[in-house]
Amino acid sequence: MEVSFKKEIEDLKLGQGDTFYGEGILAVTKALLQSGVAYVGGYQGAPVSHLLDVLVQSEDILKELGVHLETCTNESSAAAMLAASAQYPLRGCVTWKSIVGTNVAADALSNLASPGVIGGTLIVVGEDYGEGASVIQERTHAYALKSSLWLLDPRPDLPKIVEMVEKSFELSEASNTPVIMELRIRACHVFGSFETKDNVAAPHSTRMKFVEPAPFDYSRLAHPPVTFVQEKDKVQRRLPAAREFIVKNALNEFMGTKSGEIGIITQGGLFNGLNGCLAEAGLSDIYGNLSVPTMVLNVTHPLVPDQITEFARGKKAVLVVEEGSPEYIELAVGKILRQADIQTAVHGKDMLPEAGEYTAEAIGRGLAAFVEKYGRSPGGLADWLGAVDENRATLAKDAPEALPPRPPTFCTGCPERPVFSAMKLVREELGPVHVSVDIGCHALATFPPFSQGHSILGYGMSLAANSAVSTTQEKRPFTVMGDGGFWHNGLLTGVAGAVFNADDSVLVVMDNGYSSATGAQDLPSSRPRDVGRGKGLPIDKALKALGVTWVKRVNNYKVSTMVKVLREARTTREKGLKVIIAEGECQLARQRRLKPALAKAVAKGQRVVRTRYWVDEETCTGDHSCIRLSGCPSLTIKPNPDPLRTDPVAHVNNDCVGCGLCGEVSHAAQLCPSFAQIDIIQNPGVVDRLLKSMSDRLIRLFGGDVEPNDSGGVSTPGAPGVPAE
Amino acid sequence: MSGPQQIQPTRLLIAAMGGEGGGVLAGWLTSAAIDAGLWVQRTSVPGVAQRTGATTYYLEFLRKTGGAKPVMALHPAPGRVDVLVATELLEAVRMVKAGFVTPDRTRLFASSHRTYTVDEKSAMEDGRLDVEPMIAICKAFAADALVRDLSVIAQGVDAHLNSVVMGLLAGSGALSIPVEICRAALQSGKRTSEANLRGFEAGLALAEEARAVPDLKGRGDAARQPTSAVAPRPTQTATEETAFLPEEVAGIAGEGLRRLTDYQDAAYAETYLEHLRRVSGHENATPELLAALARHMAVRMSYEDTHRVAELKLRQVRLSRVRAEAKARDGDIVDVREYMKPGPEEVFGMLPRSLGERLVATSRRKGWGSKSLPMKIKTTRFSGFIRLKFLAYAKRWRQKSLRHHEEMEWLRLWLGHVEKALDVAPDAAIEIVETARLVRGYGLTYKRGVRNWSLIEAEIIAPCLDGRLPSDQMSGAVLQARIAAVRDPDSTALDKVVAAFKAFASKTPPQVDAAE
Repeated sequence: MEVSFKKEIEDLKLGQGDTFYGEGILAVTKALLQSGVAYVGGYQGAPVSHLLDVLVQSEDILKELGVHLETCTNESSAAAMLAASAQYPLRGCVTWKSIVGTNVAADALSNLASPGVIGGTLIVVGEDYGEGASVIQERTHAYALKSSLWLLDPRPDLPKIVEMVEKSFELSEASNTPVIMELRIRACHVFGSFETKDNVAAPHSTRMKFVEPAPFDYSRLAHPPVTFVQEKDKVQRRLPAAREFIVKNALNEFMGTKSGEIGIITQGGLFNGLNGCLAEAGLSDIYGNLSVPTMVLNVTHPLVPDQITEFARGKKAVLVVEEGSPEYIELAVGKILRQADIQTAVHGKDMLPEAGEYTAEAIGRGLAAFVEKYGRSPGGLADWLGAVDENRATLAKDAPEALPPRPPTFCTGCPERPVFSAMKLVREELGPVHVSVDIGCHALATFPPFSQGHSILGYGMSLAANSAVSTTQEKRPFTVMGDGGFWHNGLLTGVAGAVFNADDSVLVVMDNGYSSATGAQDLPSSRPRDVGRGKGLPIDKALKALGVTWVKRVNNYKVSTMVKVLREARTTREKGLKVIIAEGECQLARQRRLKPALAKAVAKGQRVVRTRYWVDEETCTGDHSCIRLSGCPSLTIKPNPDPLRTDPVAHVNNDCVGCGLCGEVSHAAQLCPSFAQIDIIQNPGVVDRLLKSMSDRLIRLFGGDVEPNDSGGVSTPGAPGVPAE
Repeated sequence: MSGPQQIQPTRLLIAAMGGEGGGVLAGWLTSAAIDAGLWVQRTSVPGVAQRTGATTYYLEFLRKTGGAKPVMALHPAPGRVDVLVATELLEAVRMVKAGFVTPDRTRLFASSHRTYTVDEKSAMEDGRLDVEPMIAICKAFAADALVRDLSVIAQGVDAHLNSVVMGLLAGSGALSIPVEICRAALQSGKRTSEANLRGFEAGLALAEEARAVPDLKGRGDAARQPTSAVAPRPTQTATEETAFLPEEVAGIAGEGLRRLTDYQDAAYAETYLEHLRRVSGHENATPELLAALARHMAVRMSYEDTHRVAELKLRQVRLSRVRAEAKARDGDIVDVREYMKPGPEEVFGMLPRSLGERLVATSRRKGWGSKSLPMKIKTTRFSGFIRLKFLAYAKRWRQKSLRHHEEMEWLRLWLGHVEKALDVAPDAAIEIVETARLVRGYGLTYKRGVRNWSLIEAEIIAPCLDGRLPSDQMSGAVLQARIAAVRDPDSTALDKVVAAFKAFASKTPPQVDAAE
């Protein structure tokens, strides 16, 4: 972990009456400390990574409060951690990205939910849904329903989020049930403020240890026959207890007028968007003074039937504003009203989109339809939506061309790019093969210019996803996995399985030293440094211990070598799993570490050689083969300076970090002689200067040109007409 | 209550690319707003987009009246964005097309510079979008658009673009936050920096300028941007030697003459002029055709062989260019290490024809095609210099070499087709001229180019010219084939076009008068 969270850590120390300013997910972190948690754990992933990242660097706070922090190897182990609260009165919280993390955790969650918990248990999930999401689009809600976990979806306002974190522990304890709090991407990143309280040390913690273990109690195990008892306990005792707590503590909010012909039931997380649309319709204002009865469900499971019936009674209709599919809340509301024989019409997905993010426009259109159906004028809302349509029609007429997309790509200097350049070269040489892709930065190779991959089946699953493929392909398939996926899951589901079943396939493991896609968190194989938890566990040894015999470690930036090894892996007669460990440190992390250190050295007058790459515009013929094999953000194009040519030439801009891929690729692919490595010797020493002047003299002797004078370099950054990205 | 009369927040949407500092900018704006006593909310969708993908940041601001806390939206709404900032032109247009820029309210601040998408960069010829229509769209849909190259402004003061934007927003008054508070917020982050202040002041100055000269907004920039359609104009004008050509061609020919004299010698350049003179004498040779011919023939006759590359790499003008681009400071030593990897064809191509041909044949037989000589040559040091110097010196024997022989054969074939087409299908002549652009580059690129050109020559041009296929279809077919040849590097599109043409032509009997 090369990112520093100094300021955020200070915020975690705020006390009674101070004001916290920051993003939603850090507010949650602070709220956890205010709630007296004894342990925190989880697995990184946007948008909740920062919760753990900040705590990892807050050792003094954790020590003082006696909080155990576990950076788990996957969500399954994070969920399993909650067993502590099943046996002991310990408050604990784990976090991960959902839906994917919840999927991985599902086994432990079921087994936790069955006996239930004694200590307050909170699972904070980043609901990675809608714009900016990087995973499949599903709802966490289903897990809450099937396992009897309570689900909170708080209004995205920092004080409310913090209050709900604190209440969730109480709710969990009052009903012996773990609680999930889902926070959408924008809510995790929403900046706001709240008044803080003092942090609370848990009565039992790493500082105040239990002297004796809990006495043996079979009923606390998720094991038959008590599982049958537990199943009943969930619905007969825990559910009513939760409902009672929800009502008593007013976790759900009732806004707007008490009575009215129509009403709205909304997930808390969607309230702000809804309010904006109501304001457009003249039914609210910027301060949330609603004039239509609105029930804000900060708890979306369980629903409290009495609250629903009371809210709906006497109304012609209610609109359920619920994002994603299936519409669990809407179905439940319908059932509740039907059983209570209340004839209020229920609307939801008949007016709002069945799939996709509930943006302002999506909610607006549904709301307009609803309001209109019940004889009210949507007023300004209709005007706004009309204008949106009109603008869209004008756009379709005046600017019909589709724009080229700009998907994310590997960072400048990324060590994974050369591997895909090499794979592309091998593909050009030996023809395409089936490529099983995984989750991680390397999945960006599915975008141009690499455009490869046949399946993405989950984190660390690529090798397992390849098992039935490999035996049915003439050409030996490739599998790509990151070191994150390897430790998360791939070692067991993939490698052990492949060895066990004698699969004949090729696995490329990206050993870049971090869980990079989620923000450069440490992994078991991360090198130990001053900060972080890296232990340097060797991937090679793990593979060999599992019986893999063909293991090659390759420096990613040596493209020719990588090509050779990939070719060998594809063509060797040796059967069984062949693993290539592609080694190269995450450049983002590397630059974060090196840049300041180098700047300091230069300022101190030390000799520093800075390397970057350069394209000779006079020998570049503008074919852009190099770009098709690299896609590096700093390898771009600029107008051709040659008056006889028109195609733009390749150009390396100043973001170049000198990884050397472009030169290596031009070598490996025999592209062209236009690439050059430039070494800038800063603060050159006496020997440097002497050698240089001797060489210059010889060059002059043979009629060559040298620089105007030894020190006379002119520095004109950003010559006009050259867009620098 | 009804919509329009209500108090509404000021809504700001920032469209940026991951890693550009958009998040930092949003952070500055947030703390400035807090310092100015405004309600502010900010959110973003960083996710995977942090890696140079398109991303957005959304902020709402509201003046405080009493203690009531506003409920602010987390999503920008189309038609409800007051200020839109785009750090790149395509991203600005993306926002316009998403409906976030509307004439009734949106003040658009966009940088007109381009960061090309992978699609644009990796096109085999020129895949860049036209800049002017993009600027026009921005201006047409915004209430007020300031479209300027903020990247150049930032580079001019050696600052990051986000600090320029901060200054611009502060100076524009779009957010009703005093300039002083914005400047202070800029310095309140994790790192204070002089560069940020310089950028801020530059942005502020731009806002001033835009206020003083309203006409300047968005205009004037387009002209400075390179557009894909317009080629740089040759600097040479007509001289005595090129006076036989139409004025617009003479300049290009003059440039070609200069290039070829430098490439080999005056006599070699004279052969270029002879070809031009001969073709220009043809009654169907239009100035347009001659211009294209002069351009492509000069490029093809100065084919990039090892001698040429060596010569270009020893030019002094390169050294200062390298220094400037590498941002070397006075006193730094700059070394240039050239990546060169001639393959068997390139090495044997330098040899005399008969010897070269024998060796190439051997190399094909033994499968040396993939073998090559990877070299990293430090041209700034004597050891590397002297090697290239020798290669450059050896150009005096170039005209005896195998490569030269092959190039001249190609030229003869190409020119012959052009001239024949001028007789039998004048409209197709310029298309044949244009096929020359397919042949270029080094190594595999060159081989692919020659392969594609030869395919078009053998399957379309030659049969059409000698009457086996209808020549009235040639112009369109050659054009289509040439475009297809640069659609994908595997030549899949070209092979399809050629096959389709053959299938079509076989059903259409050649016209009797095709080769009269």
